[in-house]
Amino acid sequence: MFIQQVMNGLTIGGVYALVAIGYTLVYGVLGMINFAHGSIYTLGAYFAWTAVARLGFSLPLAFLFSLACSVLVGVIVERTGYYPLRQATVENQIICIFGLSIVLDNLIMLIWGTVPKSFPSDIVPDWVSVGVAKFSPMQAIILLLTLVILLVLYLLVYKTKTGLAMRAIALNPEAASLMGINIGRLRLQTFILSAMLAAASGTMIGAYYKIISYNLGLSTVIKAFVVSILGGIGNISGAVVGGLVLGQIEGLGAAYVSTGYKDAFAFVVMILVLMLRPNGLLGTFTREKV
Amino acid sequence: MNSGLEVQQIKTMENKETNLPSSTPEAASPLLLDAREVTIRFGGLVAVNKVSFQLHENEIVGLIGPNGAGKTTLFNAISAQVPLSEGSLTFRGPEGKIDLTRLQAHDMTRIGIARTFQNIRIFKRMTVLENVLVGGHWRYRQPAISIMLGQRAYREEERKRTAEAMELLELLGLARYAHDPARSLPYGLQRRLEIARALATRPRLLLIDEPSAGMNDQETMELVDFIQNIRRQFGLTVFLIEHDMKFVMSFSQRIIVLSSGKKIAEGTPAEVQRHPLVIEAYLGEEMDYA
Amino acid sequence: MVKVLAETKALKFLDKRRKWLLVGALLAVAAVFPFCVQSSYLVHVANLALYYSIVAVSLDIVAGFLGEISFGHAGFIAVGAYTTTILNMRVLPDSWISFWIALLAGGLLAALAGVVVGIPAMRISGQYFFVVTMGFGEIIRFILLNWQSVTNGAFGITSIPSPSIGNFVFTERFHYYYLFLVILLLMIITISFLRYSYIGRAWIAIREDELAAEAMGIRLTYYKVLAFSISSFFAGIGGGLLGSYLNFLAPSNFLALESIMILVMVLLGGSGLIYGALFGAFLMTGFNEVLRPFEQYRMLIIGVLMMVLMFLKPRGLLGRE
Ligand SMILES: Nc1ncnc2c1ncn2[C@@H]1O[C@H](COP(=O)(O)OP(=O)(O)OP(=O)(O)O)[C@@H](O)[C@H]1O
Ligand SMILES: [Mg+2]
Repeated sequence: MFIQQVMNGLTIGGVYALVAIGYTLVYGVLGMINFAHGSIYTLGAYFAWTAVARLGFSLPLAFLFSLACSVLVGVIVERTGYYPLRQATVENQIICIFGLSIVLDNLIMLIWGTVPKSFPSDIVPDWVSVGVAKFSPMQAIILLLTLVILLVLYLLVYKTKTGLAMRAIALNPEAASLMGINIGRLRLQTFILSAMLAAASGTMIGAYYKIISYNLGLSTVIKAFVVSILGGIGNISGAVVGGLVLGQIEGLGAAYVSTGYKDAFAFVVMILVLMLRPNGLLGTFTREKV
Repeated sequence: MNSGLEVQQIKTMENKETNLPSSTPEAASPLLLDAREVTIRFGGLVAVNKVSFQLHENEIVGLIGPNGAGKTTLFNAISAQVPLSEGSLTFRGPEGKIDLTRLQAHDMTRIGIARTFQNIRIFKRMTVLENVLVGGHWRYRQPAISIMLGQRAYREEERKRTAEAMELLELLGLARYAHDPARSLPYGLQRRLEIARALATRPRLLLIDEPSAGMNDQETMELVDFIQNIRRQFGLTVFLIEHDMKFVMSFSQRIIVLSSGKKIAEGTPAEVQRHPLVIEAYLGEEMDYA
Repeated sequence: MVKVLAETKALKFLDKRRKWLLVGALLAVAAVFPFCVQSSYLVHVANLALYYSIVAVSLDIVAGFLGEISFGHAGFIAVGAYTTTILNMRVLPDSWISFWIALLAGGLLAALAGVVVGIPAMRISGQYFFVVTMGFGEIIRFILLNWQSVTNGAFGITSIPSPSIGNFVFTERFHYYYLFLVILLLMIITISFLRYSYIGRAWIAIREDELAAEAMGIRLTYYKVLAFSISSFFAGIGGGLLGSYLNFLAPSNFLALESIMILVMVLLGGSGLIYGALFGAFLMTGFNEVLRPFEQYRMLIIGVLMMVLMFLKPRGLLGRE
């Protein structure tokens, strides 16, 4: 039972980490709160569902289909809701991006309906018994895929020129632009990467729980906040740690405390972290210069 | 006009204090601020390094030094906006000696220290009058409930403070802008407003950070007169950071020179000007005072 | 009251005489409105607009004066609503005074919640303030959903009695109309007093420049928490009134989306102006009603509206610059 809970937490936590990395990358490079992240995640899940249930794709193909669609979504969203407001005040950005995510959620609702969609139950067998322990192939797939994505992401961010530019901009936007980095393009690239991460996570979680609904966005983006706050905002390895921590807290909390509060744990943890370690579990504190 | 009254009030306050035993018998006027071995570190960077100096009442002292010498940081320490790493700062307040390191930034106006900032920090979307009224903030006594119920005691208090603020604006030649938004003032007047706001706190020590930044010679000379006038009228001690040597030499009684966080010289303008370390520190800079 | 309202500098963009005229005309219209329209539906819409005005203006203290984006206002409204209702129905003796005591208690408990949330929320930097407030709002909702013995969970509390004064019972919609109107006016006067006092100036100073405000002797935490608690107090009062008006309360009245809608009202009209929040509340409520036949598209249109507004009028419809 306990082991099973830990495994569940690990699976979910890994995906949370991906969601949060997508969120935190945008915050780091664009300097904007990525409210629409949850909606892009939901959209990714619906693309995958459409591919599987309507177009008859296999799951891996549906995954790729969802990723491809998310590139387009990323471009549209960044250019309509983010880019035009890059100079605006934080309030304006938040309201605009929030409006954008309401638009996305409601478009999803209008296209796919309010009734939750379920993935066909036979895409992957639920459980396989190995001796006494039961083991879920879906969980294994998700864990493996998460690891692969993390690895790719690591190579991208730490071993490519684009990744270097991203990190430079996150550290010091002015200096980076002086160094001749094309900020407009980098912002778009980052956003697309973030949208792909969202779509990948949405697809995985959709296939895992086998049910999706149009209003997943808000709770998802809240989890991304929480995880990125846990890990320290703009910190990629922090997001991985934060995702895993939140996954465990939710899994174990639901199992041993109460399922009714499952979604509230995220907030309680976040508020505790903010009070005790305002810059995340790994972060350091800085204050505005006079 | 009542402005004479105001000056008188301050004068009587001082007279009372001069009866107190002075801690520096050799000085002409009593000691106001005593800085001993003040050290401020930011991580590995030592911004201010074992700086000791004293300020006496009614003095006007210049603080000069090349860029990054630690001048602003020293001000931040005196106004408790940056913590001391080592050393002590003692201020002779209305009721005896005060250890400044135990106070918080918002306590400073109460004991009689006010400051301006290097890059003007007035409240832009408030009127000029309101900016000055904020300077009087600490002297309000009526509680929130009295305001909410519109009680006479509060309206009385507000009327008195507003009259005082108007008087101050009158004195500083800002009265006709009283109801304009502060951001609509031209640059030079914004500087002046920032000083007015500081004066409204009724300080005994006024810290002015690079008042002539961004001004031409003509404006700078006007500013010299202005500062000397207010010092005389309000019986203040002025501690002033300056970059423009000509300016600071023209009216400081004493000058303290910082370089790379260390105090390298102190004395009258003439003494400092001849000091070999000062010449060395300023080598390559314009030296247009010579 | 006309005089006090006219004297508050909240409308100082007009010259004094036109300000008087406008305020007087608005009050006159407001005073006779229920008798001019013969439709009970329109009075109901006006009541909703007045309720939203109460909560939007109360949010303006935090969102406008202090300049902190709060996404948890529905949480404070919920605290006031449930406290008032539960105290009135189950705890206090059966008397007409009980409701008013309960209403005050609801406001005070909401204010206390404001302090409890405010202190940790103030310790974090501006951008993440709204996440904490949203978290708070959601936590309140989860408590309401799960603490079934007291709140009756998702089913909510039904048959909430109408308030009364002596033998007069607020039964008709237009009764509530005047109740809401009086409370809204009292609140606006109180908040205007605060805005143009040293406390209001301290809030604005903090919004404009925390560091300079601190150097001018303003205790940041104290004034932020004060703003938060006064704002929550009025939100709680609004909640208590809402429960008695709808005769029904459920956690679904207080979704995060509700908080966001209230914030949009404030920003739509123009934050920090009081009359901006008022205008936004009326506009948004009207908008909601007009869009009712297109229920499916309502949120979509609101979302588009939010975006367009931020492009075209970043300071709100009545805000300048
Ligand atoms: N809050 C801070 N955190 C880290 N480093 C700081 C901070 N404030 C100042 N410094 C560093 O301390 C050093 C001294 O800075 P300071 O602003 O005091 O110089 P200054 O003498 O006022 O220079 P200028 O003439 O340019 O205003 C600089 O190297 C600066 O980068
Ligand atoms: Mg400086």
